[in-house]
Amino acid sequence: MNPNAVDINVNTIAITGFLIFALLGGFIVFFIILYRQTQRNHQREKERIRVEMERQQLEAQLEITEETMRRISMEIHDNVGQVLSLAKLQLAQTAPDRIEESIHAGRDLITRALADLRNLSRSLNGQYITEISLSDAIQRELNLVSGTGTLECQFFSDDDIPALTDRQQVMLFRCIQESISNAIKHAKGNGIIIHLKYSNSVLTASIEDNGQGMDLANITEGIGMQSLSERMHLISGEMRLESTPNKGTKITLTLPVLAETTQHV
Amino acid sequence: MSAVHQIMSLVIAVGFLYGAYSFFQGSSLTRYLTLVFANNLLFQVFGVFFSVGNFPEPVVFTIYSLFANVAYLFIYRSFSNERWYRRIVTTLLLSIPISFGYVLWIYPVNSFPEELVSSFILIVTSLSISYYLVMLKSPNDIPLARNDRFWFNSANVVYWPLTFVHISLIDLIDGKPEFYWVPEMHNLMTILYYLSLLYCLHLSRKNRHEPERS
Repeated sequence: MNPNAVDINVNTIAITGFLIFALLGGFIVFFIILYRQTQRNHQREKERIRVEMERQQLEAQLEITEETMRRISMEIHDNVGQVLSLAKLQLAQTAPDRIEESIHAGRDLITRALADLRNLSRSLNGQYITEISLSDAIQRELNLVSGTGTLECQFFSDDDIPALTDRQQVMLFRCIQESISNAIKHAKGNGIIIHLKYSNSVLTASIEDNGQGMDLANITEGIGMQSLSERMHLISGEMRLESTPNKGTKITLTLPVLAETTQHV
Repeated sequence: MSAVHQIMSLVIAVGFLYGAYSFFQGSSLTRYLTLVFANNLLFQVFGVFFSVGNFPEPVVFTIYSLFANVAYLFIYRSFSNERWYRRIVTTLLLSIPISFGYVLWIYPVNSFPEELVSSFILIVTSLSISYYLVMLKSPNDIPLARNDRFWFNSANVVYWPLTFVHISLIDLIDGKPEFYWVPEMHNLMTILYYLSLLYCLHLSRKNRHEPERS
């Protein structure tokens, strides 16, 4: 073998080695620049999603607050206010010979007003909801709605509904409450049926009305529905909406309940 | 044994000890890198200290390459859940016994398994470059300077192709005193490579103890 030929070959390979090193170094530098750019875009996108989520949560929170205030106002006006007005009227127009009878009637009316206030207070108190079972809380809420005489309410519940964490129970109950409120406000029907079922470690609550329904293809999801969906997501649950024009609306709330935390009540 | 070689053995020994110390405290990269250091340490012990005995160096090198190849493939497999990437790694994992069998079949025991080493380098380099694509596709918030996977990947991208060049030079420079610096340069580069792996071990252990940031 010609020694010069070997030398040339070695030199060529050494230069090639250096070029490969430079090329790989350049490749890494190029990657670093590209990755930093991607990382910045990724962070911007995450920030945008975070801000958007916060905005939606704030809107949902405002909607909930507004709805709560409306509900308190309505309850006070329609129930407590009416009853107290009646009591005032009863006491004001009492004939001298029927004073005792009027005092009894007034006392009954005030007792009823107090009961209404207590029910309203319980319905709004999250801690109270956790002190009783979910089924009982739903039943009490439906009793309140039925009491107004505007809707006929039916409630069916499985016997083996598991105990939920306080947060799950309050959130799920508020979602059910919101669904009932939506049915009262928008459905224009005369009945609500609620089913509470537990199967395959999933708790399912369905709220169905017989109102005017809606065409889901032609509506955009409002803040109320968004808020329902977001609240269910916060407890790892899901919300599904089904509706057909003139055939009512059904809201299904599903919540996975881990077996180890399940305590049947 | 040259001073550079002694330093290299020392770095590998320190890497193994640090890996063993962090074995259960770090991530999967910590565990795999500990195995890589253990494999290298065994190679140093059998290949260098006992190379004149019953263990011919090419045989030791073949076994070392096989274990190293499998370890690197498992490391890259643990890096990503991307389906396409995991499929590539799994296919390459399956190719190892085939290439190993092929090498055993065509090579006499005492010859240097160039094809095996070349295929190993090709596999690791392809995976390193592919992993850059995975990183670009799903970036995280960890700065690159503190990203153990980036360091590991970059060390591989630089070291293994240059090792490939070095291996291709071995036959040409063998016995030529004017080229004594080439293997020494490679040894220096190997020291830097193992120091990088040691740094990866440290980052892997440190990142594991910090809250997950995605």
